[in-house]
This record gives sequence, structure tokens and C-alpha cells, in this order.
Amino acid sequence: MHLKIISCEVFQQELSNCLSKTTNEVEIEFISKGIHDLRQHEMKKRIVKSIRKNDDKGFDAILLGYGLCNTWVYGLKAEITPLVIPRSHDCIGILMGSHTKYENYFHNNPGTYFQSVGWMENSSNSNSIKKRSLKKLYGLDMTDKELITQFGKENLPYLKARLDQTRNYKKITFIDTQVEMSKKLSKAAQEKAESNGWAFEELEGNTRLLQRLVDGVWNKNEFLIIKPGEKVKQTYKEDLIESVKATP
Amino acid sequence: MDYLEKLHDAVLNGDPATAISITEKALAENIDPHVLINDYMVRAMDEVGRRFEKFEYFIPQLLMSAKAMKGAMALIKPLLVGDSVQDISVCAITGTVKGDVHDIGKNLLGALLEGGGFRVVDLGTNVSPEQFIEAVQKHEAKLVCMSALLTTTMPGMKTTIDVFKEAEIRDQVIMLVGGAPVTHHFAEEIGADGYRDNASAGVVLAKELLGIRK
Repeated sequence: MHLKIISCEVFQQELSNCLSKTTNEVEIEFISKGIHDLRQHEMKKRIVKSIRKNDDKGFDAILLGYGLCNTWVYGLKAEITPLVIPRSHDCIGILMGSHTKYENYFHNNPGTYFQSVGWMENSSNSNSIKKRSLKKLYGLDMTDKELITQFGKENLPYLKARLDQTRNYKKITFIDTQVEMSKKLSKAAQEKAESNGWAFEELEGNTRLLQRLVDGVWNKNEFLIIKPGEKVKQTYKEDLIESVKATP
Repeated sequence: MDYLEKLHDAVLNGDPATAISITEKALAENIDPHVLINDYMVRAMDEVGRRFEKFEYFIPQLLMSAKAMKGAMALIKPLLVGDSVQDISVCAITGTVKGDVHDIGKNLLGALLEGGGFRVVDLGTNVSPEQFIEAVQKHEAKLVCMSALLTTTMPGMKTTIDVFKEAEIRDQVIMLVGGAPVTHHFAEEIGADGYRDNASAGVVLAKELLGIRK
């Protein structure tokens, strides 16, 4: 098969390994992880731009290296080429190799901050993303200095306690997919957990979902195929998403 | 009484020290606490909510306004004990659903609900359906506001509503949902009474559904 994959850069190393094992001819394009920090419609716009650019190039399918991620995927339409996406809340489920395994782990470990090599290597955003980010829009990116200048030193502890998005987290779980830098970054994640006073766990990752994606083994319970003329709809069930006829 | 407008401005501009000193002065002059709340502070918080909704105010500004109002209310509240107006103020329960520990948005809603005259009982994060029910019964709440930031935890809102139905108390409360992944469609699908995409609009909806005039 001749396939195109448009993917979040968090999967860069894992996908490169999968591509070296596939018999399919796969053209790959990575998009900055930073688009997750934009408003949902802006994230969608960026991915759709890449899809449309490749829609009439004769690929058998365009694969998406994304999960529901901020619900960007709802309403996504396939126009000329079929689209294929793993059924997963986000990249963590994909890197664990199973959406169900992720759900179970997630609910048994509330307040867990997940990390992987791709996550940690792509954690800083470009200025263009920073300027348009939700953090900027809501003032969550203000430095201590800016908060002191605007609201006074006496209000800094009050504001910082309320603006810290991770203040209720208790644990870092590092997903090890055995790629380059795994050991070093797992250690860094562990050190971050220790300095925050959080627990730490390393979980073995599994790239089977990414391998199946590029191999074209799209079983119904793990992948959604969106045929031309269809769009993605949220289901509120275990399958997370379904494809329905798109109204023109 | 001209100086009372400064109380409005102190809440609007997020200046706790001025809000407290004006309130102290007003109470020393026996000004009716309800006047301070309704004519000055609630009006200011309404404007804070409006500015936030239009992205004219950042979250830190809203938090400072909430701090200013809270500081003034701490002086006023002891005077309202046993007061009929306080007793009939509507109780709202807020909480982030089970499995989810994010609370910035939920806390903003809580601040604006308080600013809008509600008595708010916040259950914090990772709240089970049973904890929501217990709080509703204990505080005779009329409003339940559930938050979720993740698609993994959104289903907890449906579970909570279902447990309210099983306990046969669903009809006694208005149940609203909010949070980044939540949509109108989701709210309808799970049987919630409403959804808004920001805290300020959530307060307006809550008042509307409870028949509270602005």
C-alpha cells in the first residue's frame, strides 16, 4: 500500500522504528506537539491543512498519528482519501499499545503526569505557538516577575497556588518504548518526580498500535477508518469515536 | 456613601486591601451588608465575568477580584449568621469528577458563583458520585456543577447523573457540566441540564435555570 502518515512529533522515534519493519510504502510528516497548546479549532486547522495538501495525491489512506487529543478529531471529514486513526484518548494510550490498558491504569492512578521520550524531547514551544497558546490567552504563562509587577509580591503565593495546573498531581509515569534517550529521560522524569515529592513509575511501552497503523492492519476495535464523505463523531462509549455520513 | 463605589472598583480591579478597608469603614458606619454585597460587589463580579468571557481579563485578574470579594465577605459573613437572606441563598456544589485532578476552571466557576451570590460548597477534585449526593443532601443544594478536563474522565459526569437518578434525587437539582472536552451535545446526551464553555456564562445559565433574577 502507498500510505501517508501525518503524526504528532511525539512518535518520531517509535514511528521510524515501525517504518523500518513495514512492507508498505509510507510517506511521513510530523507536526509540532505544541499545537496541542492551541485552542482546539486551531489544532484541528493545522492538521487538516496537512491532510488536504495530500488528499489528491493518490495515497491509499492517510494515517493520523493522534488520539482524541483535546477533542480536535470530532467533526474531522474525509474528502478524497480515507483517513485512519487509532482509537485512543491520547498518545499515552497509543504508546502503551492498548486503549483499554491505558484506561485501566489511568483510573487506578488519578493525578498521574505521563511522560515519554517524545514528550520530553518536544516540551518547548516555538514563539509562534507561545503567542497563540491557551496559556497566553488565559494569562497562565505569566512569570513570577510579571505577577509581582502587576499584582504585588504579597499576592504571589496566592496566585501561584491557583495557577499551577499540576498542583494536584501525585505521580509521574514514564512510558519506556526503548528508543534512544529512554534511560536518560526516564532518569530525568524520576528526578522531576522526586523534586516534586511525587511517586514515580516506569511502564513498559508497546508500539504494536503504531506498527499496525503503518502495516495497514486496521482492526475495527482499535482503529477508525473514515471513508470519503464521512466525518468523525464522539460516541461516549468504549470505542470513543465512530464515522458517520458528513452533511455537505 | 460616595466612597462605596470604591468597593465596586476594588473588587473589579482585584485590590483586596482596599476592598477590606472600605468594607470595614462601611460596616462601622452601619451600612446594610446586603447593600455592600448586592449593589457593589456582585455588580463588580458580574463585570469581571463579562470581561473574562471576552478575554479582556486573564485568569490572574479574575483570581484577584475573587480574593478582594472574599476578603470583604469574610468581614460581612459573621453579621449574616441567622440572617434570612443568607439562609435562602442558593447552595451550589462544585467538584471535578472522579479520576480527574484538574481544578483551575472549576475554581473560577466557584469564585464567580460566589460573586453572583451563591453559597458554594466545593468538593475539590476526584469526586465520586456518592460524594456529590452526600453534599447535595447535607447542604440542601439546588445546583451541582461538575467539571472534567480530560476525555478519559468525562464519562464520570454521566455516571454521576445516573447515580443521582438511581437515588431518585435527580429532579431536585440542576446539574451543569463544563471543562475543555465537554460540548453541548455531550451535555444533552448524558442528561445534564446544561453546559457553557466558560465560567462566567455558566453562572448566567445557572441563574436562568434556577429562576434567579440577575
